[in-house]
Amino acid sequence: MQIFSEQKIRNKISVLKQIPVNIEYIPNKKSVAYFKDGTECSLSCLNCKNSLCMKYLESEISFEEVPTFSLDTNNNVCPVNAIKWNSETESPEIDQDKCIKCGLCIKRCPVGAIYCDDSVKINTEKSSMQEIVLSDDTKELMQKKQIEEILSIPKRGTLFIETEYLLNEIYEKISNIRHEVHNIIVRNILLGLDCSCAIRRIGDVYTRMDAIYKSGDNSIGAMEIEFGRDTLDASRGILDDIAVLNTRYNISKEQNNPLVVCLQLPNARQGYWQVVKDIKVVEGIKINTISVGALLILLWNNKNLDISTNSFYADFDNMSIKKYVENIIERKIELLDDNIGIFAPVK
Amino acid sequence: MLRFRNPGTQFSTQVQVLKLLYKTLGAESQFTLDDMALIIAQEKLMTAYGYSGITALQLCKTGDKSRNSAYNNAKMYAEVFRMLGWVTPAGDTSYPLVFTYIASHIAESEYDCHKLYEQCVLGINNPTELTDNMSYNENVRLFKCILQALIDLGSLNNRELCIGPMSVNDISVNDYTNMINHINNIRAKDILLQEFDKLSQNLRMAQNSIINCTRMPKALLKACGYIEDKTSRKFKITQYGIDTYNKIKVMKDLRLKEFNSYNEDIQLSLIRLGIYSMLQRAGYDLSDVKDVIVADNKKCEYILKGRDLLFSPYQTIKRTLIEKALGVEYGTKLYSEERPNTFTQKQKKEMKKHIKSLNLNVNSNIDEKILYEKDVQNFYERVINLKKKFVVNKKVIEHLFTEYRDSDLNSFYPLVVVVLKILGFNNVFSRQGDNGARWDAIIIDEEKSIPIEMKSPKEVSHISIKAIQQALENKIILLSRKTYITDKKTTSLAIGYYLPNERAEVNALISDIKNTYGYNIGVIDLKSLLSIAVSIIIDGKTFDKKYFYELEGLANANI
Repeated sequence: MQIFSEQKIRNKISVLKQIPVNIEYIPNKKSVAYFKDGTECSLSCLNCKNSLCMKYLESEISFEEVPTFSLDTNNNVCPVNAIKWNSETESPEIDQDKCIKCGLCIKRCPVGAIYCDDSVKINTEKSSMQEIVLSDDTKELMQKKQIEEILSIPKRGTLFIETEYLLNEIYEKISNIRHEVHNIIVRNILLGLDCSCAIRRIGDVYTRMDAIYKSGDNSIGAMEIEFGRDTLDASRGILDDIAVLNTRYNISKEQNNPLVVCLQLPNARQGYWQVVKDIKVVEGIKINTISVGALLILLWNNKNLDISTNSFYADFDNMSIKKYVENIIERKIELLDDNIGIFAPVK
Repeated sequence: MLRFRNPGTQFSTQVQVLKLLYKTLGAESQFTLDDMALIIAQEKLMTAYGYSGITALQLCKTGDKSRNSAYNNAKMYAEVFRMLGWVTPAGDTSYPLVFTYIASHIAESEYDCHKLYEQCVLGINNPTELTDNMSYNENVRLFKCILQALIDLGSLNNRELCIGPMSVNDISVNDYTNMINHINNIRAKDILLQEFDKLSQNLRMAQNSIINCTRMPKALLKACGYIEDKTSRKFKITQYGIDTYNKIKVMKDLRLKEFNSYNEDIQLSLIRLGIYSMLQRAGYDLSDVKDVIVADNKKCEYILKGRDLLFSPYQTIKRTLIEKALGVEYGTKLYSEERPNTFTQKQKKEMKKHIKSLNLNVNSNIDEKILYEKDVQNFYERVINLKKKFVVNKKVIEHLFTEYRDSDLNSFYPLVVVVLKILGFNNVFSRQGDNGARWDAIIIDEEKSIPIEMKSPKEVSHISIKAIQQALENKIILLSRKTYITDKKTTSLAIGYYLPNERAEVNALISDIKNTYGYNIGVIDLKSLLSIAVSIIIDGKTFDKKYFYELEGLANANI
């Protein structure tokens, strides 16, 4: 039986003449690659065979620590499917109506060819350090090796500068997104912060926990994701998740470092912060709470998240997580947060 | 009107499950729904009661297949795959199934198969040789028709979709035009609800069931990018949808009746052309069969007249002729795999523990002091009067139970408080009016106070997982804030009208909570409480309160 092969969706690819020694993200501008011979230039899209800006590899979305977890295998990098392959131009393109400016695709591009000025764009202007070649097995292999090498070189700089305007714009878009996408947004941001994360498969009504994550070497925990206002469900859910992970998946209560991810931090009156404190007092469990905005700021600053070394514990006695974010990005954040609720509850 | 069941419709999951099944079963297998269920469970693509894998499969096993969620899960995938032309019956009966040549391409694809998936969506048409016993007979290529209607009407909503494209013969220009005029007329006169009611009566289907039939088509339209991915009552076509319609409208749209009118030689060519053109449009390299395509095109030129062919054989006709045309052979042997039908002793023990129900022992005296309270007096008198009327205790209980079937928290909470007092818990207070308290009521005790989470039947008829989560939270809050004295092993109660529907999962969670935190969560339904109270009032039976203090799991005191 003859199974036909799929046609190449790339006739041409781009390869590098030299591997850069460093790549720097520059807010509102194309990133800059630095080469050993002193050349500095912005690299354009490589038309990679496996577009890292569009898809995760299977290994990236698996969760080795809990292999029996019924996880969602959606492998799109863009949670809202705003980045798609254009077979005519042979490069990815971004649907600006859909794009929420999270920066995930920017962080994924191995050569920094995606950037954001007023909108997220893909640099297709070929640089002097690249050449366009006809795609064949040899060239694809060569490109693959180059990408592997580039991925190991350090990247510095900042993808976006956080502003009230930008975050309000993003929050407004996220607020109107379908409920099913919320978990995917959080998982993908955590993957961007070098964590492992598995979210419950869509349609699986029996697995109650929203997700499990692992950050750093040891921190593994249950996750509840709450984009609405009923955050008490999140703290209740976490207690349930810890019990289930303990008895059914062999992750002990002591080992569990639970995390609640909210769009906005819970309002002080909702009772969430008091219950978080009660749980710590009685059970010694410290529930970490973080907002999507705080996660994005870490991502934009090219940082990783390791809950085992940087706790995000906050409770009724201190409901702010700002200092935790500032510790990681090693600078003060000047942001009016009164109406967004990224670092402290909205008053 | 075309009917679609309402299965899980996530595109990526459908492809993932197909790939997995194909990898395990292979092109050569004939397989049943049980085979599919086993593989889906083994690969942890389903869960039941919080368990995955084979345990989940075992937990789903009941004598009644219609209630076996693993089997139904497999059936749901089989229906979607059959509709997309990925599986087809091996013989003349619906099962076993075999994979199709299209499925092989989906399964072997390195990419996400999105384009081939789209071709399969466009291939959905009716009638087919595979849908003999359907209760509908529209002659329609549904998604082409929907795209056309979206262009002609600007938008559609769920009801219009049912009245319009899902109920039309698009093969007839007149019928299609009448349908568009009908919807325009409905809009002009604002009579959509009346017309939808008529449809519901004609089909003898509940309106909600009809609306549910739109979920699948809408999910497919979204997955293909034909309609805007927005949560809105009306859905609108995208530019991609318009471009797609413009491409397919000029193709030769071949349906079953016309296909059957040709001789076998032509039919074989049309089958090849149908499948090869689907693959070609999906971006496959068909240069190896270029000569075959040229020859078939030449042979069918009088039908095609230079047009591309829109015809998906697997979604229209039986497999025998298709396999003859392609020179392939699928499903040559019956798949067989030893299935784990029995539980191990350890699993049995675990299961027994999960579904353990405690029978309360009724043996202590009612406290006379509470009879001075007005609410208690009223309840006491009512029970006595009902006993005179009905004679039998069981009928008294049934009467009271039925009376509170629709009660809200304002009448349910006080009833529970009164009944608990009759059981001997004198210091029980509802939190009505106290917004600071997290529990709905509390039994105050010198050492062993018990928080109570209540669910009135107006809120939820059955006690849910959520109530158990709240009972756990109540326990932790009470221990932390020390509002009243209690200790770790004293229970935290959840009380509702009916015991949970999802008993196995509720029991499992209660057991998980005990193992992890060491707390007892007890669950009681109203009928059990009424049974004990009535037996105390009428028969002078006594109730030993200590059973409540350390109650774990579901209590059931039927008399």
